[in-house]
Amino acid sequence: MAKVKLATVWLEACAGCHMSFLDIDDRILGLLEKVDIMYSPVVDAKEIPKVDIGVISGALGNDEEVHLAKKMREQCDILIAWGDCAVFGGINSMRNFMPAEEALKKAYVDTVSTVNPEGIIPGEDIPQLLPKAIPVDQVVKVDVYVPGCPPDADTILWVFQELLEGRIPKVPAEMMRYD
Amino acid sequence: MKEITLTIDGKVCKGSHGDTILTVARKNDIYIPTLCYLEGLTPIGSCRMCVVEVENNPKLLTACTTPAQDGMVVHTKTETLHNYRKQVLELLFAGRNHFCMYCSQSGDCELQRLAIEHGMDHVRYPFLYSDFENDATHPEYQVDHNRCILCLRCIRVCAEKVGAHTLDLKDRGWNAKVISDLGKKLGESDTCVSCGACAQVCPTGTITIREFAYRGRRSDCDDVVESVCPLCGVGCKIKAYVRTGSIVRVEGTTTDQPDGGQLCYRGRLELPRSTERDRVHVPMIREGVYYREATWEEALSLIAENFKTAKEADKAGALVSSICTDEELSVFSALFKDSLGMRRLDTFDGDILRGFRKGFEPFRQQGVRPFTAAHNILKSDCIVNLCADPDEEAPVVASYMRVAALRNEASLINVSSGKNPFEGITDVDIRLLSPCGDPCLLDSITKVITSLRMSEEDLGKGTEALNDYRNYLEKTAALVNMSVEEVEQVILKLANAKKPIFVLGSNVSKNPAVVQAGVNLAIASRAFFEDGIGIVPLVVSSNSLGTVNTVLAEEPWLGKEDLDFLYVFSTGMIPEDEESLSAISRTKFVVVQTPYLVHPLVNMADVLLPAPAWYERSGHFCTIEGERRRLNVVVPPKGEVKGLASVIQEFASALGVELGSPKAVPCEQLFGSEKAPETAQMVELEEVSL
Amino acid sequence: MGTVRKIEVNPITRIEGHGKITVHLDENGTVSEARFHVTQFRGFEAFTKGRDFREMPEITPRICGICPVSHHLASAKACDAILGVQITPTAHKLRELLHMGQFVQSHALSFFHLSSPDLLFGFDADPAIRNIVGVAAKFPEIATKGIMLRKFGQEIIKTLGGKKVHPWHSIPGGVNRSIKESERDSYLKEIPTMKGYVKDALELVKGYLQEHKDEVSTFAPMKTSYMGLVADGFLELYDGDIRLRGARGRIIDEFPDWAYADYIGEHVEPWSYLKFPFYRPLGYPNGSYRVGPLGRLNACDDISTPEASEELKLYRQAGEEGIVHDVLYYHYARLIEALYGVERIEQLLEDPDITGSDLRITSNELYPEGIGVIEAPRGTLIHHYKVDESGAITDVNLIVATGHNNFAMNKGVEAIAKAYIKGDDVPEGVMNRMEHLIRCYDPCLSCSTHAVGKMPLELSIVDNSGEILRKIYKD
Repeated sequence: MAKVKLATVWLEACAGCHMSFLDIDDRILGLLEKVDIMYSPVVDAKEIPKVDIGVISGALGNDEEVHLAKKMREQCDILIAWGDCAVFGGINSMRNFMPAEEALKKAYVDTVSTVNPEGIIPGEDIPQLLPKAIPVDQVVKVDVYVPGCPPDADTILWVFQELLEGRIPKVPAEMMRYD
Repeated sequence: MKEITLTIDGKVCKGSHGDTILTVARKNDIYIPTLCYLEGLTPIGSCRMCVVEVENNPKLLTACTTPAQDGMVVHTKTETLHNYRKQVLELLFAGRNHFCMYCSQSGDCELQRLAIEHGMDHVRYPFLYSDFENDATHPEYQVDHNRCILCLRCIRVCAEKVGAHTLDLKDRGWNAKVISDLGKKLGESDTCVSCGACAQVCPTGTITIREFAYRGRRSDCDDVVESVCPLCGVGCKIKAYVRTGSIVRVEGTTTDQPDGGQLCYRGRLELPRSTERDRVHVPMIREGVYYREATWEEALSLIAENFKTAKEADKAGALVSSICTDEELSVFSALFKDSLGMRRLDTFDGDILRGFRKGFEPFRQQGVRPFTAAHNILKSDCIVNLCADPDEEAPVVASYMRVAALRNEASLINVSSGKNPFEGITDVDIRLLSPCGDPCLLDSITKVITSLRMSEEDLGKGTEALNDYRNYLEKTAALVNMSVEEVEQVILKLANAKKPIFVLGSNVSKNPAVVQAGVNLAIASRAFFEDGIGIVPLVVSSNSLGTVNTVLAEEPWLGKEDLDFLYVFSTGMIPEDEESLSAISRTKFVVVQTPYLVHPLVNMADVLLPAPAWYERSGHFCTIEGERRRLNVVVPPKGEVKGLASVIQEFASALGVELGSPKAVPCEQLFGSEKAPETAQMVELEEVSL
Repeated sequence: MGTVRKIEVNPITRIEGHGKITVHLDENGTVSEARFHVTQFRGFEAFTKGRDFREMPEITPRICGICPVSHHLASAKACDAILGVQITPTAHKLRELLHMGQFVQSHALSFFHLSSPDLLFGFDADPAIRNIVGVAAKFPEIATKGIMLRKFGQEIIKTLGGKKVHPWHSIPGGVNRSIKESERDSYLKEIPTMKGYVKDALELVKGYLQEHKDEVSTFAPMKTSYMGLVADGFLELYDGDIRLRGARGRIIDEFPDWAYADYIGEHVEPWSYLKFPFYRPLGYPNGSYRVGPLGRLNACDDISTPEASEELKLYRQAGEEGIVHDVLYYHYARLIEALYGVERIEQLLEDPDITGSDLRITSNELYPEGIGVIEAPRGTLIHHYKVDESGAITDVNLIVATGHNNFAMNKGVEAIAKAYIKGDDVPEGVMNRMEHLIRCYDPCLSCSTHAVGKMPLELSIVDNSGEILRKIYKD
C-alpha cells in the first residue's frame, strides 16, 4: 500500500502542538511506516505538493499566514486544524481587542529595556499583521478539528490512525480538551 | 402534596404537584444538562441548556422553570435538543472571549464540561471579539467579564443567600454585564462583604479567587474532606480540597443547604492560608532570648517540675482555646479539674461565656433551651439586633439577617450604641449609650408587650393592662429619647411578629442582666422555635459553647493574681486579647502549646510545645447553628506533632497522676431541651427597677 | 547605498514564529549584508495588560511550546517578587526539578531530533534521509535513545504539572503540588540509564568535532562576550546572578537579576520582529553577546555536579584562553548541560525536602514591580511585570532567550553568505550551512522543520525596487 502523504504547518502559534505530536514518543516510528511526512512545516506555497492530509496549527495573524492556509487547503484532501489557535484563534486573539499598531508600539517602543529613540516599528521585508488573529476556518474549510492547548499526544495519534483506517474522525468527549 | 405521574424518556416518573420537570427528572435519576440552574436559587431558565420536548407542545420548554403536570410525556435526549443545546454553547463561546487555555477554572468549568460533552470541537459562528474588561480591582476576587455567560448565579446567590445585593445586571443582550452596586467595579463596592459566594457558584472562570487560582483543579486533588470552620461561633460546614498534603481550596457546601453553602471571607481565605503559616515543629525550651530544641521527655519533665512547685503553692493555672473539640476539652477537664483538682482552668473567651451562661441559667433550669439555631433567622419575620456586629462577629449570621430583611420582608430592629451595622435596611434604629445593652430598656419593652398582650387577651384586667401599657411606653420612650408614637411602632412590630428572633452580640455578655432581659423579651414576644427560644448568642469560636460544661471557670481568675505556672493552649487561629497576654506575661513559668509561631504569645513561653493545627485534628464542635458538627482530619500531622489527648496523657504520667475517663459530655447537656420553649417563664431581673 | 539586489531565503526557520534570510548584494555582486528576519509578532507585552499577575505563569508559556516551562518559571519568579516572598525550600527544589526535566527534554530534542542528522550524515547529504526519520532507519539505537531521554524529561514535567506541554505547577509564592514518594522512586530508577544515553551522545559529538576540526573552526567563526546565570561562580539555571564574560575571558560584569534593565538594552531593526539585546555600557552593536549552552559554559567557572564538571574540563581544552567560541561547540555544551540536568534531577530527588508539603507562602502586600530571570535551554530569559495596587498588570517587558543571540545569528549568516555567495551564484550546501548555523543556536521552531522531513529553502534575488530577478529552490 502506498504511504499516506502528510504536510504540517504552523502559523501563529507556539509550536506546542508539534511538541505534543513528538510526545507520541517511540510510537512515531510505527506511524512513519505508514505515513510520509512531506513538509513540516511547509515553507513556501509553491513547494507544497499534493498531499492526502494537511495539518495546520496556529491561528491566522498576518497576510503570509492567510496565504499559506489557502495554499495548504488547495493542496490537501483532508485538512486538520490542530490546537486551540487553529480551531478557536487561541491566545493570539487576546490582541484582537486593541489596534495592531498599539500592540506593536508597546513591544518595540515602550518596554523598559527597548532603546529605540527613533520609534522604529518593524515592518520592512516582513509580513504585515492582520487587524485580528482569527481561527483557520474563517478563511478555509477545515475537515477535522482537534482542539486543545495542546491536544494530547494520544489524541493526535488517534486522529492519524482513524484517517489511516479511512474514517474522518471526530474527537470524542473523553479525548477533547480546550486547555 | 398531591402526587403526579409523568413519562420522561419513556420512564414512568413520580413527582409532587408544584415540582418542575427538572425536579421530577432529578428525583428519578434522569440527567438533564443545566448551566444557570442551581438548587436552592430561584430558577430563571436563562441559559436554555435544560430545554426539553413535551409531546403536544410545539415549543421547547426549559425544564427548570416549567411545572410538571400529571400525564406529561417528556423527551430530554432527542437529536433536536442535542443540536439546540450545542448551538447555545457555541453561541456562548462566540459571544465572549473564554481563553480556556490559561483559565484557572479550566477542568472545573461547567461550560467547558458541557461543550465537550456536546462534542463542540469548533465554533460555527464568527467570534465577536467584543472587548470586555477584566475587573481585577478587588484584592481577593477577579471578575473577568470575558468569560461571563450571564447565568446570573452570582447575582442570585448574592441576593438570595448573602443578602448583600452587591451584584446586578447592566445593559441588554450581548452587552449585558454583571456590575457591582450601581455600576462600580467590585473592588470599589460599598456593599460587597467579600464572602466569595459568587466565586463558588460561578460555573465558568468569570469570578475567581485570585490567590487560590491555579492551585489544582478539583479533579487534581487527592482528597476532599468535609469539616467545620473553627473561626466563629457559627461553625460553617466546609469542604477542604487536599493536594499532596496541602489544602489548596476551601469551599462551603451547596446552595440547597440551610446556610446556602456560604462561607465568609475568613473561612474561605484564612483557612487555606493557615496551612502556610510558620509552625512549631518540635518541643523547645527557652534559653535567654532564644529557644533550643528539646525532646518531649525533657520538655515534659521540666514542665512537671515547675508545675508541682506551683501547684503546692496554689499558683498554677491552665488556659485553653475554645477552638478545641469537645473530646479535647473533656480530656483537659479530666486532667486539670478531676485528676489534679485545679480550680484555675479557663478559656480565653471565658468572660463572654460566663456572661451568657449566667444570663441563660434561670431558663436552663426550667428545662428549656434558651437559644435557637442561627439559620432560624431565615424563618423569622422580625429580627432584633442587640449590640451585635454580625459582619465582624459571625458574618454568615449577618447574611441571614440581610436575607430575612430584604427577601423575606422581616422587620429589622437595631439596638446598639455604635454604628448601625445594617444601615439602610433597618426599620428602626435605637441608639444606646452603653455598648453592652441596657437591661432597663429591654425590661421596659418586655413590660409594654406583656401588658399589651394582657389587654388584647382581656383577662379581666384589660383597662388596667392598657394603663400599664401606656405607662411603660412613655418610660421606654424616655429611655431612648424617642417619641411615644415611634416607640409604639417598634412595640407593635415586635408584638405582631409571629416568630421574632434576637441576635445577641458578645458585648451583651458583659452584663448578664441584659442577656436575661433579652430572653425575657423573647419569651414575651413569643419568639419560640422548635429547638428553643429565639435567641442567637454570638459567641467567639466554633466550640465556645462546648467549653461551658468543661473548662469554663465559675469565676474569672486570670490576672487576679500573679501565678507561678500557666499552661496555655492556643490554636493560633484567633488572636489573644491584651488582658490575657498581660496576665500570661506576669506568670513565672509559662508553657505554650500551639501549632503556629503565634506572636506575641510564643514570646511569653518558657517551654514551647508543638500542637496539631485545626486541619490535623478531629472531634466535635457545639455550634450556634444548634448542631454538634464534626471536625475531621484534613491533612494528617507530621513529624513531632502529637495529638492533644496523647500529650495530656504524657503530661499526666510525668506528673504521676492517673487520668480518669472524661466525665463531661459538653454538647448533649447544652443542646438538650426537655420542655417545649413555649413553656418558658420570664424571670425577675435582680438589678433592674423602673 | 551600494545595495542593488537582495537574495531572500524564505523562510529559513521559525523562532517563536517565522524567520527568513535576505542577502544583500552590492553592484559588484558581492555580499554586503545578510539579515535574519523573525517574521512573527504576537503581542504578549501588550495584551496581558489588565490581567491579574497570578495568571501570568499560565499565559506566558504560550509564547513558546518548546520550552514553556522556562516562561512558566521566569513568570512565577517575577510573581514571587511582586509578593515579596522567598519561596520554601520544598517549592524551590520542586521548581528546579521541573526546570531540569525541561532542560533534559529540550536538549535531547535539540541534539537527537534536530542536530544529530547533520552530524551523522553530513551537511551535504540527501535531505530525504538527513532527518530524524533517516536516523531512525540507519541508527535506530541513537533515535530511540533520543526519544527516551526526551520522554524522561517530559514525564517529570507531566508528573508535576499535569501535562507535558504548558504544565500547571508553579504559582506565585510556590508550587501547587509536590512529588509523591512512589513517583520519586520510579524516576530515580531511570537515572543510570539516562546518564548513559547522555554520555553516548557526548561520545558521538566529541567524535564529530574531532573528525571535522577544520569545518568546526571555519564555520562562521566569531568571538563575542557571553552571558549566563551563575551562583558562586557555578553554572546555575534556576536562580543566580547574571554574569557577562568577555571574549578574552575577563568577567566584565556580574549583576543581580532585578537590575537587568540597567545593564541590558534592546535595539530595534525595521526588518525583524525580534529585537537585538545588548550590554548597555558598551552600546549596540558592540555590546552584543551570546547566550545558551555555549554562553553559559563560558560564563561560569565550574559546574556543581561531579560528572558534568569533569566533562567541562575536557570541553575547555578546545577553547582559547579558556573560552570556547566555535558555534558547533553549542552541541557539546548542550550535552554537558543535559548531563548536569540528569545529575541534578538525581540530587533533587534524593533530597528529603522534595516530598515536603510546605508548598507555598503568601503575603498581604504587593510590590509594584517584579522581575524574574531564569536560564531557559536557549539562554537567559527575563520577565518583568509592573502591577497596580490590586495586582492587575500595568506593564510587561519580556526578553526571550533566542533574542540575545539575534545579533550573532545575523552575523553568522552574513559570514556564511560572504564566504560562499558571489553574485547570483549560490553554491550547493550554502543553504544547509545557513540552516545549521541557525540550528546551533537552537531557536525554537527550527526544530520540527528538521525533525520530520526536509527544510526547503527559497532564495530570491531581487533588485532594489523589489522585483524578483531570479529564484533558487532547494529541496
